Amino acid sequence: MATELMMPKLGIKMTEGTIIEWKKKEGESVEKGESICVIKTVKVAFEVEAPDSGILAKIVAKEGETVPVGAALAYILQPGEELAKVPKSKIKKKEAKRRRGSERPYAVKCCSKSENK
Amino acid sequence: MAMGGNLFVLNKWREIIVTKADAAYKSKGCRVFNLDTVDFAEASHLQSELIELRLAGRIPDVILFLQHPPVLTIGAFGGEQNVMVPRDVLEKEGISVTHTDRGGDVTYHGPGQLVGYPILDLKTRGRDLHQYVHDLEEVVISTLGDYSISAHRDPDYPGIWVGQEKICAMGIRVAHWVTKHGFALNVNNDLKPFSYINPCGIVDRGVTSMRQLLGQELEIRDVINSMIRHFSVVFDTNVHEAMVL
Repeated sequence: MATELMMPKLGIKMTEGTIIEWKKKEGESVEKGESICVIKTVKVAFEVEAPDSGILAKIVAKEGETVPVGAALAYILQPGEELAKVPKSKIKKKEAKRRRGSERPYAVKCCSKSENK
Repeated sequence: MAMGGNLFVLNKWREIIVTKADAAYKSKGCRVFNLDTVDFAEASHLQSELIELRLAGRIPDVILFLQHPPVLTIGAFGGEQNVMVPRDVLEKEGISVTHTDRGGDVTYHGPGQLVGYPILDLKTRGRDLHQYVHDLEEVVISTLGDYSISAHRDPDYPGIWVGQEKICAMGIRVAHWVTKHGFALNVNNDLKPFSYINPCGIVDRGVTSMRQLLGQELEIRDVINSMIRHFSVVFDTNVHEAMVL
């Protein structure tokens, strides 16, 4: 199974982060817990660790990009594994937005939908 | 990156810190070391070693207080374009230029400026970068308050400000949730070298120092004492200074 590396939430107030540097290139192997990229949030440079060992197969958030908490940054694959088509980064970003604006609980949304019906 | 080269000094400090930090580790406190003047690159290397030791559980949280010989440092978010003066001019003034992995853009360090590098494991402090930055800013603001200087944060610009002038730069890196680098408070230092850069990439603001605001030279030692006091309150920890000299 491909492991998704996400923009981490590094504080209650954090909503987004900016990729400063990828320390690994696509195709390179990574160790679980190893720093693989550096992000910027609240003026701090934070080293993001690989959530799993494997091959850094696809980087979806490039250096300089600002993405919301929970959005996909990259995918890590096991040897021999292939990435299924193009990563669903758009979907992930939408999802992340929803997670970010989570003051409106999901359940309420469902209710209002059913009311409309 | 040039390492500064003085391995003897580096080893001495590392040894002292490991030995002296041991007691504090048992009491879960935070150990303070006043290193006086240390070259920027050496201090950076020392911090990296201390982070390894912190991660290995061999030392407690540590705060280093020090001053650097004149140096312009370019942070992880910065670029050479914010150094406005040619290198040979800087060299003549005895100011070196170096890149660093801390957050932030370009800043100046020099004698009379109080630099503080907390090596804290944020895993034991709620894993919140925003809270950490806020707390560290609070320590600096409260310390300045002891000198009747009313300082504040600015939502748009990093650092601590007095009016429209910056008095303290902040630049932080965190790896494996352990903090590196920290703040640089202008106490008695010469402010002229800031005119050689766009401090932190900001063009429309000035810089100031405690000496400039108060019209007199201050004892750095007193400022450190004040800071230690506020640190123990804001971070809710026992802070012990290790006598090393």
